[in-house]
Amino acid sequence: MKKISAMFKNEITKKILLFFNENPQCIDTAKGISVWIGQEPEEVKKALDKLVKEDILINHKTMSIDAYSYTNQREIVRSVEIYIKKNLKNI
Amino acid sequence: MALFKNAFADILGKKPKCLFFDSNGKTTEKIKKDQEHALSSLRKLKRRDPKESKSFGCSCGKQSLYIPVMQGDNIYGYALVPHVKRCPEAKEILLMRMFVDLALKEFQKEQELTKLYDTIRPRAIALSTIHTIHRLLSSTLDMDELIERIARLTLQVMRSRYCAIMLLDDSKTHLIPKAVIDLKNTSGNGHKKYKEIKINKGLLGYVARTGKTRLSRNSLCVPLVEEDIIGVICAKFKSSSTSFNKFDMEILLTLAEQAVIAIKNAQMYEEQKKMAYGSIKSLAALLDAKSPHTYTHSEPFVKLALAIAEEMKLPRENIRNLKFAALLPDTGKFSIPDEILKKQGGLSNEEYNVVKKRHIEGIKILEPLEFLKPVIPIIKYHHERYDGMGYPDGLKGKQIPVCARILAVADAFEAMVSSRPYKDNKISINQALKEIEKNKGTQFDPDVVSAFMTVAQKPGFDKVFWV
Repeated sequence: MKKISAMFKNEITKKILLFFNENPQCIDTAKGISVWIGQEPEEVKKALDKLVKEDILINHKTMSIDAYSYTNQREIVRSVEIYIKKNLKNI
Repeated sequence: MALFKNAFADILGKKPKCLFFDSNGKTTEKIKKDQEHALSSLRKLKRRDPKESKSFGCSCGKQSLYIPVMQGDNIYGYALVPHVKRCPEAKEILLMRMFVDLALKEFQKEQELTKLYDTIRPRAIALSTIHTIHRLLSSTLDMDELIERIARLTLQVMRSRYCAIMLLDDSKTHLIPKAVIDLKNTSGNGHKKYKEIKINKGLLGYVARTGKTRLSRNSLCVPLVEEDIIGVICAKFKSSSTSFNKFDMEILLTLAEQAVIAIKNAQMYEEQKKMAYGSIKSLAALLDAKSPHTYTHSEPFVKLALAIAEEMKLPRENIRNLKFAALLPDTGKFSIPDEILKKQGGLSNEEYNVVKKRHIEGIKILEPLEFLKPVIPIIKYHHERYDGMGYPDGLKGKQIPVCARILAVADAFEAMVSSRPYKDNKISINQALKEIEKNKGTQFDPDVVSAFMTVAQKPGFDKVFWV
């Protein structure tokens, strides 16, 4: 996995990480998440898939729906939380 | 506050030092020594005339100004401008008062919006999550896949490290573990094997017996209810150091409601599948009784076709259809005269035309069975060849349904290695494999042949599929 800080360099992945840090129980589609973070669905989908590759998100894929949720790995969740607290206090 | 200061500066001509007090006269800012005079004068004035905006002489002799921040009869606080350069005129005070009113309204509006956002947003996200869960659960009718999915989604939504889904047995005396995921158990994939639980024992038994939800610091257990209790979902150990709360309980109860509907649908589908499978087996037995080995195939044949499909990672729906088709691959032969069917050696053109025509007619006996609709093309086209030289329609390559291409390979292999009363040219498995390989790309789909060869190389292939 790339360093968490690298994920925060891109504006959309940053918004997604902030969203899941605030709502870790959420399971939603790319379209749904794009509404919550106010970004274009296509761009959000790309960023979500990138975060899935990095094991930060989980992809729940079926024939009819493609949904995303936050990882269950404590260490990753903790690292994101710490990064946000340290570097993005004003958010 | 900066807004007030700027507006007052516009009116008074110079940016004032502006202080705000709540209705009790307390300020959020630290008061400077020279402003204390103004504050003490304000307190005196406030007692006398709290709702009036006024300029007043401070005890130090300088002029100050105060404006109550109020709406109706409610006073929320005061804006105090100590030591102004000049005494503002009445119309200037009125203007500042209007501005304070306007600003107060805007501030209240913003506060309400923030409150609404803070209240509604988490619920809207939770609602959207429930909707997504509903869609995820409705997208499968396979019971094993469904239960596993419910467990995974429960872990996710509860942010827990453990989830167990147990269903009551037919006698309603025991809970049978259907999915238990324990992420604390880091070995393997987190799945643990659990024994069944008596309904009169433990937390899960209590919930299954009484239908009551149990919420504690480290666990949350809800019943699965559909008219009657059918099982329980239990989540344990939050990923974070927090405890389970009532919001979690609401969410898990909603998830359980969705889960019950999905489980019931899957159970009905399973029953339907069993009925369909039973009907096909009866039909196969009927045909077999008329002329053994002519219309139906052996169990290993079905196994082989399914093994190839699994090797090719076909979707479950395709595999199910293939399973049905493999039970009745030669229904099309039903109306082919026995003398042609049992003829040794090649067929004449005339006989071949009869086979093609009667093959389609024979399949018509399956058409009234609605559930076999997706199966019919597999049976119909499994005599097609990859190079387009087969029958009934001369389809070529990928025009032939993939399950029909699989059935073609399995059918040819079985025909070569099995004994039939009307043929005596049975060959060995190795010879048959060579024959299939030789016809790759002409008679058979190369991808199917590759998958078949992989299956054939697996240990015990000859024992599993053919004895």
